[in-house]
Amino acid sequence: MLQFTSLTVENFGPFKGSQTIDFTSEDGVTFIWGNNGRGKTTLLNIFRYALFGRFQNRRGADVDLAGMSNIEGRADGHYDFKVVLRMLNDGKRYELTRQYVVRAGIGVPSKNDDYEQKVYLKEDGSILPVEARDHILNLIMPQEVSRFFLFDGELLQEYEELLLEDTNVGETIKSSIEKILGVPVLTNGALDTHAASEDYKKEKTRIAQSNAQTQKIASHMVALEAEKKEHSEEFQRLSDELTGELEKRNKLEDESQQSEHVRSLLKSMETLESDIKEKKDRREEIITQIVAATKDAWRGLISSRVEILLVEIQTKLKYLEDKDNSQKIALHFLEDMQKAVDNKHCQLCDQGIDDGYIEKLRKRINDASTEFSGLTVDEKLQLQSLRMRKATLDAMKSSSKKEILELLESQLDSLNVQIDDSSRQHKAVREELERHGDIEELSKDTQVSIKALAQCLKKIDNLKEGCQQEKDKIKEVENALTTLEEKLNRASTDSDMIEAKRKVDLCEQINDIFERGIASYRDKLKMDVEKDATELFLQISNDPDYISLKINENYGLEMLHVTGAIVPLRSAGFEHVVALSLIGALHKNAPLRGPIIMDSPFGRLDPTHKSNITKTLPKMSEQIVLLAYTHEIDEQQARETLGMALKKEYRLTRYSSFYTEIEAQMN
Amino acid sequence: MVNIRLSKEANEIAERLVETGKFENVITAAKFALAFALKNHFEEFDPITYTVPDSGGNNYNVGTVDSDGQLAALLRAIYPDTTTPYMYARSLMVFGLTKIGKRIEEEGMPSVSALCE
Repeated sequence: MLQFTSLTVENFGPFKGSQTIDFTSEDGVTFIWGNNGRGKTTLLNIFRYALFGRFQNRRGADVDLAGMSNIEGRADGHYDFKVVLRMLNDGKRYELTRQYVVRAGIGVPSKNDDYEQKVYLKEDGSILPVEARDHILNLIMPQEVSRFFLFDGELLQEYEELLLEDTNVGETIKSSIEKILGVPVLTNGALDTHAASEDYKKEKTRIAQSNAQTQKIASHMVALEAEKKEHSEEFQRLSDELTGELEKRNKLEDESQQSEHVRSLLKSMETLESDIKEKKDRREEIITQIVAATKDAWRGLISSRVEILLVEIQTKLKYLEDKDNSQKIALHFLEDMQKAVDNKHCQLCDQGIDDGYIEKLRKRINDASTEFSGLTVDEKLQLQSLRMRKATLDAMKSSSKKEILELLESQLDSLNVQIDDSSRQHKAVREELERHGDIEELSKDTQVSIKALAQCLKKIDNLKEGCQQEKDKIKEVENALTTLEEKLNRASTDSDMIEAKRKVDLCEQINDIFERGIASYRDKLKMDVEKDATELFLQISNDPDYISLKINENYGLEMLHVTGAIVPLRSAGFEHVVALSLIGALHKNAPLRGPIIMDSPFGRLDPTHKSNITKTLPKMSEQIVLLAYTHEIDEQQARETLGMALKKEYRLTRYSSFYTEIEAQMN
Repeated sequence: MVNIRLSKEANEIAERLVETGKFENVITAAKFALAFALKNHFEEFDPITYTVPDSGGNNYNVGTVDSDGQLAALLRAIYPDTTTPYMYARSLMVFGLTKIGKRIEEEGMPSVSALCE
């Protein structure tokens, strides 16, 4: 069984200088407390780095080595960094050293190539050669199963994929589970017997070809075997390519998620630009209408004054026109009166007029001539002028532009506010985008990413189709081969053929036993895992109605309700609990035994679950190391719950923003 | 009169009105100001005694200002005794622009519709 005894980190991440964590050699739990940013996840990654030589960030991407060394150390001129992991495995002491040193001739490293990696593995004090080193490391901790030993509690929801059909993540986890359970030993054996069986079949065909009775059938079989080989190779090629594309798809989808925010910003910026342009165009239209309105607005503006003047002019005109009209009417009567005087006879009453009355009439005519003298020269001129003025002013009457201008100006003001608003938002979005990089480059990259993902998805569909077609063809050929095989067996009568057939039959029977054994072993393993996971689950769960876990083909675990129904849509908290139960059960059933190192083990669990998990920890593995932040779980309660099972405590203490000290806590 | 020359201040006020984007040019603004003066300050304005403070503004050809002769006809109709309608136009423009300028100073740039009230 693998057990870590100590870890030394030098100048790595936030850990300045040389710092060592001593794990006890006794079975139990070690707590490493640390708040956010103090290096808990870095410690988890340091274990991964020590064992597998790779360092990845939270997103799973490889990191820049130049940035791995401690910042304060770099300021002091220390650019190298190192980890030393000391272990016990099956009675042997191992010391694994991995370090990156700056290459000779490089002053200040700026890229990965400026470093060279040095790896040493000592076994009981002696340095192992490279092949032995790699072999031992692969034996004691194969990378494919590391997820069950070193993991982030916040990422346990990936085990939900085991409940889904045909997911890439699910397949990967299933493969890892079978590896830790030792299934590959059997499946590899089955492959070997299958290969032996194929060899004997070829031998049999070769013998059949040399026999006149069976030559034709055998030749046909050889041709079909060649065809089958071709299709198998093509199928393998397509499968490998499909695996590559699926990995690429995952990477692109991850990148897409990360760049989701950038894409969203770019889209916002585009929308805002379009909106601003539309509004500015509309604003130009309105301004054009306003300018057209103000061009003639002066006419409407003077209308009220024109009305007042027209009233005055009208009054004067009336006086003069009345006066003029009065004279015209009086003249008519005066003419008649003059005729009467001249003729001494009134035409109206047809009577003579006596002399006395004639004098009166003459006087009347004189007086009237004076009274109704009509317009003076000035008054005539005035009348003419007033008429001209009236005509001019009448023509100047125009409706006011006030209302239309009010409406247009209100629309303009509103648009200006909207444009300012949108421009402010656009500026903010632009500034945020510029923090991510050059906007044109980002836009290009986003387009490229989207296109790449679309192409990748299309290629995956094509490859899946291609694989299926090859599988169908292989099946077709195999069926034809089976038919020919039967024909061959019926036609074979000589002893060589009979012996060859016997060997093939024997291999196939052995292979069949293997396959049945594997299936039976898998079923037993699943039952054992289900039983052990259920036991752990019931100790952790706080819901009495959840009575057990049920395993599926992919080792996914469903929760069963007391009614017998499967619990659908379980919460993130219960996902966490189920995943831990599975991991604990795998550790119990695996031939490979080792420590569990868990970052953020309690995730979003409630206090009851946290307490239950703490109690259950010692049952999951002999050595448990937990990286938890202060208050992720009540420290005192954790100590009381674990009791003697708690062996060591450390605290990641901030000395500065870039310097964390690993301090042992006295128990 | 061949040209109408505004005072320096009146020209500047007209240019500010044009800068709002709502007036096509200084002439449009000046005619608006003339109408503004007639509407709001007819009684107080005496074209005979009013003196334009200076001729520091730009020069505008009457053919451009009053291409259809309507402005002159209007002013003759309003002031029948005048024989110099364009001098009256000049005075009214300067007077009107000065009044608008004072309003801008006191209240900030008003909307055109507010000036039409």
